[in-house]
Amino acid sequence: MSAAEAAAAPATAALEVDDLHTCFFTAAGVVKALNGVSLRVEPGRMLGLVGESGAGKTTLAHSIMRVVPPPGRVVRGSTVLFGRDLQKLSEDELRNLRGKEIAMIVPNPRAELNPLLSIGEQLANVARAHLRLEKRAARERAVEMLAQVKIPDPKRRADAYPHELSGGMAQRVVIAMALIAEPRVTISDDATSGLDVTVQAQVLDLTLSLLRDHGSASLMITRDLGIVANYCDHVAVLYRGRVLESADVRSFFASPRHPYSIELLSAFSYEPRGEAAAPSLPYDAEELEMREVAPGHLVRDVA
Amino acid sequence: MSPEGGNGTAPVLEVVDLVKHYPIAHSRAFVAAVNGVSFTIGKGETLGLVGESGSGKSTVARCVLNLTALTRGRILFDGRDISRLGAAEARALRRRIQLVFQEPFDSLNPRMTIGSAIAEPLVVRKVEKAERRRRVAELRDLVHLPESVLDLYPHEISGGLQQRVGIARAIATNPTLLVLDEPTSALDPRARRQIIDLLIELQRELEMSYLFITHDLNTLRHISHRIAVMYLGLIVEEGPTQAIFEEQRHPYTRALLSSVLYPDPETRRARFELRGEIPSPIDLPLGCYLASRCPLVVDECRAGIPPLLAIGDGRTSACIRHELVPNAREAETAA
Repeated sequence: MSAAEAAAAPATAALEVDDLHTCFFTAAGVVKALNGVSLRVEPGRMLGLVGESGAGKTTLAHSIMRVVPPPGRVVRGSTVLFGRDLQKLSEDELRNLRGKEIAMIVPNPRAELNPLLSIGEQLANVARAHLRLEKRAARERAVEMLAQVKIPDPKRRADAYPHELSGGMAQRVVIAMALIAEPRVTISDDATSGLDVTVQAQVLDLTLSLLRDHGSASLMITRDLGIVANYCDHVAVLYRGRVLESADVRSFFASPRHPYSIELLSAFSYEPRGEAAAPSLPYDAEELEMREVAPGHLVRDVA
Repeated sequence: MSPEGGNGTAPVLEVVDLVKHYPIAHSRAFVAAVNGVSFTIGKGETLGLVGESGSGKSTVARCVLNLTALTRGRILFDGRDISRLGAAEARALRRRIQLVFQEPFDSLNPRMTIGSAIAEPLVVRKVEKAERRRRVAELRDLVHLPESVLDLYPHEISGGLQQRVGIARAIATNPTLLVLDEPTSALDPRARRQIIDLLIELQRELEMSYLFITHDLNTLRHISHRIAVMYLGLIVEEGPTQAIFEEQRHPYTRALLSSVLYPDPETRRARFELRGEIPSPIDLPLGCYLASRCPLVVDECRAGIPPLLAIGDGRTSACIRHELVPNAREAETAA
C-alpha cells in the first residue's frame, strides 16, 4: 500500500487477514491450502474474492471463521475483526462473535436450514441468542427480517417449513438469518450460484442494499466475475492459496495485470481482456512479492 | 419461424407443437411441462434453448432424445417422424442424436479407464477391435486429449478433461445432432471457455447441429446462432442471437437479459424486473402466462395464449405488444 493510501485508509479495517497459512494434514502428506493470504476489507465495503476450484476460497472463509474441518488447521497468520484477532480468541468468545459480529452466507440453503423447524422459529432462535430478545420480540424481529428480504406475506410465511419454499425463497431466508443480528462483517461463499439468473440478480440487489443500510462490510467469494464487476468495490484474485492481484474493481476490469487474471477474465468474457499475452503456467512462484502498479492496484511479480 | 435450416437446406431437427404433460399420482391434475413448442435446427447450426427452472427446456431435450413419450406433437429428424418409433428403430436412432451431460464425472464409470470409456460406445455398436483402436485414437485427437490420460481413471483427471471424454463418447458414433444440457455449468471459467471453443471447432469440422440448453447467457451468446427463450413450457421469443441480445421483443426476454451480469463495471445496467412469482405449471392461467407479472398487460392478453408470430428479421415473438417492449418501464406493483 502506498503511503498516501495508508494515510487515507481508516485506522481500523473491518476485516484484515494477514499472512494466513492453512494446511491439511492428510495421511498422504501435508496439503498447503493457503500460502500466506493477506486481505483488507474496509468498513461498509464489499471485497470480491475470485478464484477457481481448489484455489482455497472456501478454506479461507473457514479459516477466518475458525471452522476449518479436520485434518485442516490454521498454522500461521491472523484474521482481525475490528482490531480483534479471531485466531486468538477462546471458543466461548468466538461463539459470541459468530452470527453477531461476523456471519456467513452459504450456498445450498436447504442443507443449512433445519427441516423440522418453521423458518420463523429458526430466525427467532438466532435473534434470541444474539440480540437477547424475549420470545415475542424475537418472533417480531424474525417477521420484520423476512419482510426485509422481500418474502411476500411474511407473517404467514414465518410458519412455513423449509421444504415449502422455492430455492430463491430459501436463499433469502438464509440471508435473513445471517443478517438478523446486523453483523458488522459478512462472508458469502458462492451463495447465489445455484439460483436462476433473475432470482440471483434480485437476491444480490437485496443483499447489497441491506449491507449498505447496515453499514456492514462483506467478503464475497465467487467464481463469477460478473458478480464482482456489478456488486463489489474491490477484488482479490486467489490462485493456489495465494493472492496474485488485488485492486479497485474499475482498475482491475479496465486493466488486469497478472497473466492469470488476464487469462481468467478473457475466458470468462469470451474476448481478449488486458494487455499482455498470457504466458503459460505455473503462476505461483513462491518467492515473488506483490508490487503496486497503480494506486491501490497490487500484482504479484511474474517470473 | 424459418422453415429452412441455417444454410438453406432442410432442417436436421423440426419440433412441431410439442406438448408434454406429466400426470400427478392419485389425481386428475397434471404438470404442464411443455405446452406447444415448435422450432427447427439447421445443419451445422446451434440453437440455444434458454429459460429458468421450470421453463421446460430439459423436458424438450428429453423428448428430442426419445427418452420420454410425447403427449402431443411431432419431432422430425432428417424429415422423418421419430416421436413414435419402435424399440429397435429408437435404438438405431440413438447413434445419430447424442447427449452431453452436465456433470462429466457423474456420467463416467469410475472403474473404467478413460480409454475404455471412449471405446465403450463402439463396443456397444459391435465395432471390431482393430477399427475400435483406430477410432479411439482419432476421437482422442479430435477432442485434444493427451494420449497419457487413456490409462487413467475419471477421478484422476480435471473436470475439463472429463468433459472432453464426455464429448468424445458422444461423437463416437458420428451423430448428426448433439443435445448439450448445461455442459459447462459445472466447470471453472478457463475450462468452460476451452470446452466451448472445442465444441465450436468440432461443429465446423463435423458439421454437427447442436441443441444447447443452458441458463448461462454469457456462454450462450458466444456459441449460439439463434436462441429460443422459454417460459412455463412455451417459447416466448426466438431469433438470431445478436439481434435478441441487442433488442428484446418480449417482456420476459427483457427481464432475463437485464439480469445478466457482465464482467465489466462500466456496463452495470438498469434491471427490468417482473413483479410477483412464476405461476404453477399445475394451474396455468388462461391467456398469456406472463400476464400477472407483466407491466404491459392489457385485457386482450388474457383472452387466449398469444401465438408465436413472425415480427421480421427472422425473429418471432409471442407478445401482442412486442413493439412496446424495448421502451417499457417496470411495473410498480403486480398487475
